[in-house]
Amino acid sequence: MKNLNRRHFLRLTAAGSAGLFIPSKLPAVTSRTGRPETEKINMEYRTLGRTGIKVPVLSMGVMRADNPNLVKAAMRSGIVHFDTAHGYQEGKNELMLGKIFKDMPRESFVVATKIKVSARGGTFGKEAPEEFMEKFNISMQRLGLDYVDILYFHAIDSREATLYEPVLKVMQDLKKQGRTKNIGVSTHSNEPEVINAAVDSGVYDVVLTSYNFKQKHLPELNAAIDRAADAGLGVVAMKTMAGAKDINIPAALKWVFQNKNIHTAIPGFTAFDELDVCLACATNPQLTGDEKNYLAQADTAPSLYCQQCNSCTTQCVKHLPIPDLMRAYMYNYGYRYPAKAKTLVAELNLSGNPCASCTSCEVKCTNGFAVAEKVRDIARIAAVPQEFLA
Amino acid sequence: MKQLFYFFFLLPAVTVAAQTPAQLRACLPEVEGWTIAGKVESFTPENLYDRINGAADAFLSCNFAEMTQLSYNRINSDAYITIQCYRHDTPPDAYCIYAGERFPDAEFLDIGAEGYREPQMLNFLSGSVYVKMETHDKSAEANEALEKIARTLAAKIDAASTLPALLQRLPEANKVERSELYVSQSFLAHKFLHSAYMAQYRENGNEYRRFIIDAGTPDAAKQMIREYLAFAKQDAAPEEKELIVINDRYNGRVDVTWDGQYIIGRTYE
Repeated sequence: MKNLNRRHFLRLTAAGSAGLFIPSKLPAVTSRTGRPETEKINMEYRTLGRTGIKVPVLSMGVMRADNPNLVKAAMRSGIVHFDTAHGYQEGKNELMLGKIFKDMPRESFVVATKIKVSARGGTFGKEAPEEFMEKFNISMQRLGLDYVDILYFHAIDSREATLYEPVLKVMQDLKKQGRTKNIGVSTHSNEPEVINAAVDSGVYDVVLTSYNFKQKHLPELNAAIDRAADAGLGVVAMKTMAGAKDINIPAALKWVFQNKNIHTAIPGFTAFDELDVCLACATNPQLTGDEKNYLAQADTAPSLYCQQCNSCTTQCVKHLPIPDLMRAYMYNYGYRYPAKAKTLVAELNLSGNPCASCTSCEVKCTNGFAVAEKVRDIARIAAVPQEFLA
Repeated sequence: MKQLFYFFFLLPAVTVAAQTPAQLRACLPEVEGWTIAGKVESFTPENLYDRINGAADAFLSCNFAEMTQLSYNRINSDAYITIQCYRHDTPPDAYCIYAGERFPDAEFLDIGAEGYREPQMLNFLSGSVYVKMETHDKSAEANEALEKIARTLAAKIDAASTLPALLQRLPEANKVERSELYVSQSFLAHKFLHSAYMAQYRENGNEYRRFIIDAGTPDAAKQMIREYLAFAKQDAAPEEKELIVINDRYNGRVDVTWDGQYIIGRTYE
């Protein structure tokens, strides 16, 4: 771990200056609406479970922000909770926050960071506790703080990992030492299992979970969130925009705010107008009629791409590998990667339009896809010379 | 006929050469004492979170297309080398994330468009692919293996790879070495400024940044400056090559001018 130390120490001392631009003070400025920027927006506050920390429903996921002026604008607007991670931007994210926090009263902000440890084949190595501790120390140096408010065991996707004793012990020791006020677990997949394990552990104070209206397992996830909140854990929502570029941001964010057991959300806005939109949602979280309609339609509208549920595989009279073809369709039309689509289609050894001899299609896609149409569209790519695709 | 195919199969994608995961694996060299692992993992924008979690957001904002993960295993040892090849839509997009993550105090290497080494890791940029290699093996042999793999892979991904040409328009005098960045969207956190190349400068104890935006056309450049002036509530009729001082309520003073399709400027905060 000495090498890790040296590498990150160097980054702390010299490298942080590159790419970051940190003003020395917060300028007193006026917003486009005419209100002073220092005026706090009136947002609903909720308590992060037994941590006792009161935060607005809107917090900031800093992961994509590379402009400290955006973080400062968020602070001036009343956002107090900032979420980063050891690995974001190879540490520059924590460095940026550290420089902003430097001149601010410690009690004026709540900061959470997240640490992931290496695993191979889903199993942590024997060096995991040491690695966790090493990364934590580096994160604290970058942030320039004596303590963080929440320290997450990051990117956990199973009960076993949630309860991994060697790392849990390190986190508990750090809490006893006052270097973190609270400990938590973050999860992007298999969230219900992780949240339930966090509750069962009796150790975790906070869970940070993916949460958006597009998730397929919302009943299980909501049940786990309710259980966590009832048990006194703070619940923080991330991935609130479902990872989509063309999403209705107010509808998606307000949908999250409707769940009172979500104590705050950390959307990762990267522009001032996005911040304004998020603030407007937090100020007035009631869904409008249009937003309710959008959410209702999204609930019933087919997904843009195949969900690989495989329900169709027994329906096609020609036994076509429809999920594979739909994956190729996604590569071509979704990811704009025709070479990969062609490779996949070629591996399937289909000839021309495999649906050509059928007069009707027996396949009833659970997402409502016109399967025959999409098969026809994508099967053509097999005939396109590779030179046109590369 | 060729144009017809482009229309059918999405022009923006087909103009970018890209190796499939299998092709990338085939690019890997034989390294004595190491075996190439059979497992090849591939991640798309949909599931990059599964592998790198919240760090995925930064890659996605740089138009990430696909990540292929490959690895070598050391013979008679549990040591391994992990290679993550992040393919982006264009070489500037790959530079966006590469430059955002690099640290200027590293040992830089002439690999691909640029590469650098730190203990137990080696990262480089080649064409539209940003490659990150890492090992827990601290031996000299592992270090040598990293470099051999990197040199071979970089040449096979894009032998002619260079850093983005627009970087050359940023003046060299007083520039902080390797402080250049490419912001692919919402430069200065303003959507209307979209993307920009920028670098940090240090002069007489003062720091500032220069930037250059390729607006595409002179009219688009002029329109972008008009939008910026409107945002700042400043009345002005901008003229080409005229210095315009914008009082940005979030970013402080921003000096801009436009020259043809390019907007160049400075920020101070």
